[in-house]
Amino acid sequence: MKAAIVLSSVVVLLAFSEAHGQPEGETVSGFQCVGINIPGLHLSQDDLRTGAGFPWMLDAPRDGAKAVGQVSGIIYIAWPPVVENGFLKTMAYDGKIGWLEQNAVRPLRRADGTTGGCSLRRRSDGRIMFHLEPGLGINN
Amino acid sequence: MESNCQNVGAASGSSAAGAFQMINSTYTADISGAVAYDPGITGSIVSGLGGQMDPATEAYAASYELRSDALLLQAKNVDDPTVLDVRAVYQFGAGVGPEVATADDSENIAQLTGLSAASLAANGLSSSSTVGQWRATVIAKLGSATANQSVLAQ
Repeated sequence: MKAAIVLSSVVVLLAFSEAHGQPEGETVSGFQCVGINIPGLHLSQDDLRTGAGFPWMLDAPRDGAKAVGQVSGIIYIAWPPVVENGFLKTMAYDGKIGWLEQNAVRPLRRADGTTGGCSLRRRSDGRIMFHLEPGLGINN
Repeated sequence: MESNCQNVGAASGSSAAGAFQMINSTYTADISGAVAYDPGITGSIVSGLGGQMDPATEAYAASYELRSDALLLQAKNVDDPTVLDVRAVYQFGAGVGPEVATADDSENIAQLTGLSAASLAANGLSSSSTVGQWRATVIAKLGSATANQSVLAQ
């Protein structure tokens, strides 16, 4: 139940706005940026510096599935969110699809507490680059 | 980058020394890692912290750091990491460095990394610095070809 509450808060709080300027690259739709859930995962500032304790995306929505890659502070999730068995559908920085425990994310916030998202584009080498709405940060 | 390719000693208040300006703890960890990776280099390096001031020895440590950071980026699905990408991990850490590598040029570094004003200043940055401005400083130092070169062999 707690996980469901977390997810619904992501859905409700994530506010959209139009992309600000369009850097080169193909626009990627159907995904949004959220932040790693620093308090939920009990990550310290030192963990943020070293990357310790950051969870892994899996290739299937179940415990024990194969790891696709370790997430960073900014995480791309399917939008609208897709949840199966307590896992959120996600996309890695190289475009691979994976699944992440849903309590590992939270909305990106500004210093004043308002929330927002990002626009995504695929660079010519395949890397998915993000552009956050102004003022958002993973530590807010 | 910081040494302008000169074999310079540590500045007051810092242990960063040598051509690669590695601090004591990073150097010690990386040269140990390099020796473990290739024990064959043992006979050709300067032992102890004295190795920091031997450019050939410190190059082994710096190479190991480059490799480690590139592998970390690959584990986070940042494929074919470049020198510029790896520099992001080296400078901003393994936690938020990959974000810097995947951020648009217009992103604000302070908001992205959560670094304090003091930490930003120590890195030659301010609260208004963008990822693009940071990239430009690295490219200005290394040259575009080097900065955009792949770190790991294909």
